[in-house]
Amino acid sequence: MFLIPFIVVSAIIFAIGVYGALTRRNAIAILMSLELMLNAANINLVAFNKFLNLENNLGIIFPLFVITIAAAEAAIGLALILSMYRQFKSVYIEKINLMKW
Amino acid sequence: MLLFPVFAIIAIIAALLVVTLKSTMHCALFLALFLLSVSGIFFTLDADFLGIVQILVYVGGIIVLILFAVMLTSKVQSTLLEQTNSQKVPAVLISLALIVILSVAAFKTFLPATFYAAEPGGTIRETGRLLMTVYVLPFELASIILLVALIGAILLAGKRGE
Repeated sequence: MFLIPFIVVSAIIFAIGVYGALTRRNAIAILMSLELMLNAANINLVAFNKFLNLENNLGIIFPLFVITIAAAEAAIGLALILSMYRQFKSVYIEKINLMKW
Repeated sequence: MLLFPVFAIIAIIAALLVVTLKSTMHCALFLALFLLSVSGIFFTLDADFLGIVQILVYVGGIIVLILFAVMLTSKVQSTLLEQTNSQKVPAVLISLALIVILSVAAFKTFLPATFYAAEPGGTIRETGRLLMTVYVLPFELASIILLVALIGAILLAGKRGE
C-alpha cells in the first residue's frame, strides 16, 4: 500500500493545523494554521492523482485552484487583520468582542 | 519517491513549530520551510508544475504578505505574552482523534498499490492544455475571484476617506 503513508502524513499535518486554529490567540497565527490545513488537503489530492491516474489530471488542476483561493484568502484575511489592528490596537481575537452580546 | 520520508518529516516538524512557537515571526519563517517541503513532496509525486507554483505563490507571495502583517502589527505582539488560549487539552484530544479516525479510514479502504509512471517531459504541457480547454470556465472564475480579492483587500486595508 504505497498510498497509505501520504494519507497518514496529510492527516497528521491537517490535525496540527486544527490544533493551531483552535488554540492560537493571534489572528495571524490562526491564518497560518489555515494554510497548514489547505496544504494537507493538497498533498492528498496530488497523491491520489499519482496512484489512481484520475481523468483529465484532476488531482493536479484542483490544487491549483486551491492555491488560488488560498492566495485570495490570505490577502483578504491580512487586510482584515490590519484594519482590526487599526481599530482595536490588538491582533488577539478575544479583544475583538464588539458584536458579543 | 525515495525522498518522500525526508520531506514528510521536515514538513511535520516545521508544522509543529508553526503552531507551538511563541514568536509569530519565527512561526512565519517555519511556515516557509513547511511550504518548501510540501513543494518537495509535490516534486516526488511528479507534479512538477504544482511544485513550482507552490514555491512561487506561497513562499514568494503569501509568506511575504504574512511577514508584512507580522511586522506592521509587531507593536502589540510580545513573546512574553501567552500565545495560546485555555483550550489546549480539548484541542490536543480533537487533533489526536482526527488523526486516528482518518488513519483508520485510510487503512480500512481498498486502495490500489500501483502508481503510474510520469509522462516524459513533465506535466506542464498537459496542465496548460487542460486549463485552456476542459477547465477554462473554472480558470476564468479564479481570475474573477482574484480581482474581487484584490479590490476587497484595498478597500479593507486602505485608509478611510481617501
